[in-house]
Amino acid sequence: MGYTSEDVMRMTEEMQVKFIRMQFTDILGTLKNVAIPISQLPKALAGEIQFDGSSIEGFVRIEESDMNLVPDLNTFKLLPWKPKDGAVARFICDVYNPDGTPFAGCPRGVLKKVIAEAAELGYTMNAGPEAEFFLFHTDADGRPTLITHDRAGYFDMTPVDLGENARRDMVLTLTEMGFEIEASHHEVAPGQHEIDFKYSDALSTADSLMTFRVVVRTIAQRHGLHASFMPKPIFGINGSGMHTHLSLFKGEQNIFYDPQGRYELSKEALSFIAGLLQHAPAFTAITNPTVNSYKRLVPGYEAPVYIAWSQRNRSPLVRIPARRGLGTRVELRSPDPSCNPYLALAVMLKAGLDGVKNGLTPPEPEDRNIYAMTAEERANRKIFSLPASLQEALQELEKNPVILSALGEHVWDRFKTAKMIEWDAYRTCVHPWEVEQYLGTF
Amino acid sequence: MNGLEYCLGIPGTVERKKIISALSLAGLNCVGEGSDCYHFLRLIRSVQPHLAILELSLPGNVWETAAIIDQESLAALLLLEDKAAGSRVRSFMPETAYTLVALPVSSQVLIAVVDVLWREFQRRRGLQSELRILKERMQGRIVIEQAKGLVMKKFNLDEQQAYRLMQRKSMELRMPLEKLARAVLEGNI
Repeated sequence: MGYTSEDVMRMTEEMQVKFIRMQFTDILGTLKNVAIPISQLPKALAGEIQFDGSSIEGFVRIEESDMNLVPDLNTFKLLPWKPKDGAVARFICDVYNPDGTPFAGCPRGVLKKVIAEAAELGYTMNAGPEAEFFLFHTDADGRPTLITHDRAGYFDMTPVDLGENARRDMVLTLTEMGFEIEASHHEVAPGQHEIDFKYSDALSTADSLMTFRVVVRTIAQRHGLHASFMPKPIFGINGSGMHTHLSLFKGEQNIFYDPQGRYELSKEALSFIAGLLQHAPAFTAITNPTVNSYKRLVPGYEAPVYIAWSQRNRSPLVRIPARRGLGTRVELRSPDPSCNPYLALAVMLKAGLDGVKNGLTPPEPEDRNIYAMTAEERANRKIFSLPASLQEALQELEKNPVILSALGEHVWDRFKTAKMIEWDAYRTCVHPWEVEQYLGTF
Repeated sequence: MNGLEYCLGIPGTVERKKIISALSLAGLNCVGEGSDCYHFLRLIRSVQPHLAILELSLPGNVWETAAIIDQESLAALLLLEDKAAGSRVRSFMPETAYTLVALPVSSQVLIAVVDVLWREFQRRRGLQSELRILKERMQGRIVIEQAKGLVMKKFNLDEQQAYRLMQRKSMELRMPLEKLARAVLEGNI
């Protein structure tokens, strides 16, 4: 596409844009923005909009607080839910230091670095995520509840399904913003939905995921609902995952496909899979970054627990969908939508790339249902588990120099600090389960 | 107005009862009542009534709810202000105009207001759909113009010849001119 500054100036005038949101993402994956009036656009295009970095989670110390926002012109989009007169547009920005160097704590920058590493080998990575979410009712104060429309009382049994209706509006809004929606459907659990958009290069996909989460939440709110990307909101029913389809391209060619190769997969594809499997324990802290993420990664709800790969069954971590040719890809089934998409795609690419660089060979595919195996059988077949808690995942990540190098020292340091606080808060909290279990007994 | 359906969001019982009985005499049916703004919004989305009647002291963000109903033309919107219930107009949302009626209100006035409101809403919907069609057509024209420019340059034709060529191709392929123009611009033809 390649917008120029002139294109952007012209478009803002044609669309009568009054405000621009300069968006960026913090280390924990929260979308932040600095809103500027249109008069500041030339300054913004020159990368001169500054913000106080010390007020953002995981950014900088107070003495080095000024940060610059450099907009990526290709991410210019009109926000469709604002009234047309006085329209609001947005840019996704990279965060820079005042001296003009990229800021080490910018997650978008982290992903760009790994993408550049792949580009040195001639590869681009395409990614296609399938983000699931729940639609819950809000209470009288607008706070989310755990009530889903499917389970709401008879009073709401109406000709129009509220969830379907909201999802349709989400798809329309996303389409208006340039998304190519491939599928949108109700998921396994009551109130659970999924919207899939077309795969793209890793950076565009990460940008799209950030936009996607905002659109889904905003439209839900306009329907009196709350959209939650929490990985496991309700015990006993399926959680929300973000299965991610990955493939490596050289130019227009999908290098995962080799008609003569084993399983019609190329050497690179097999090494990429091996890289994913080898580094899975370490990158899980990034792809599944909350305490709650690990309540989804349990047997019985179509979420992966064991580090293995398969062409057929859906119990392992990596599945190879049947499509071959240009559509050849691997599906990583562990990530969940609470992750920071930039960091998550960066570590997935890094893991796979490490496999390719070192020519790793994956173990034999596991086509049996791993959940049905005994612990002994799994041990014999060297099938290990993903980390069982956030704490375990952080410990695994700390031991893995390859994945740490993708994150960089700054991001890892801030991420670890924030996540240890989260883990400690959880560890020391007395949960309702404990009260129910022990209060009467002891 | 006979047979029109409405959803009501009003706390308290006295005014609520009066409104329901006044509107039912005029042939309007209450098809749902919202206990708070979020519930009201869900109701409007799922029942899709002709009218939404919302009292300002309903729990939740009334103005945001009103703005969503108005912006998306979900229903003809009537706001009520019950001073006795403690509600009062604090601020209006910018760029929008609402019909606001103070309570208590006589049934004649209420019915007259609803009548005007409904007719105005229908007129507005008509204009909106006309505007949408015009915008789409205008967009189509722009695409055809752009494609024509491309064809002129590519085949070294004047404007009329280029248009004729596209017209002929459109007939041959049984493809609307606008679709053909898009295909030309995308390099598929």
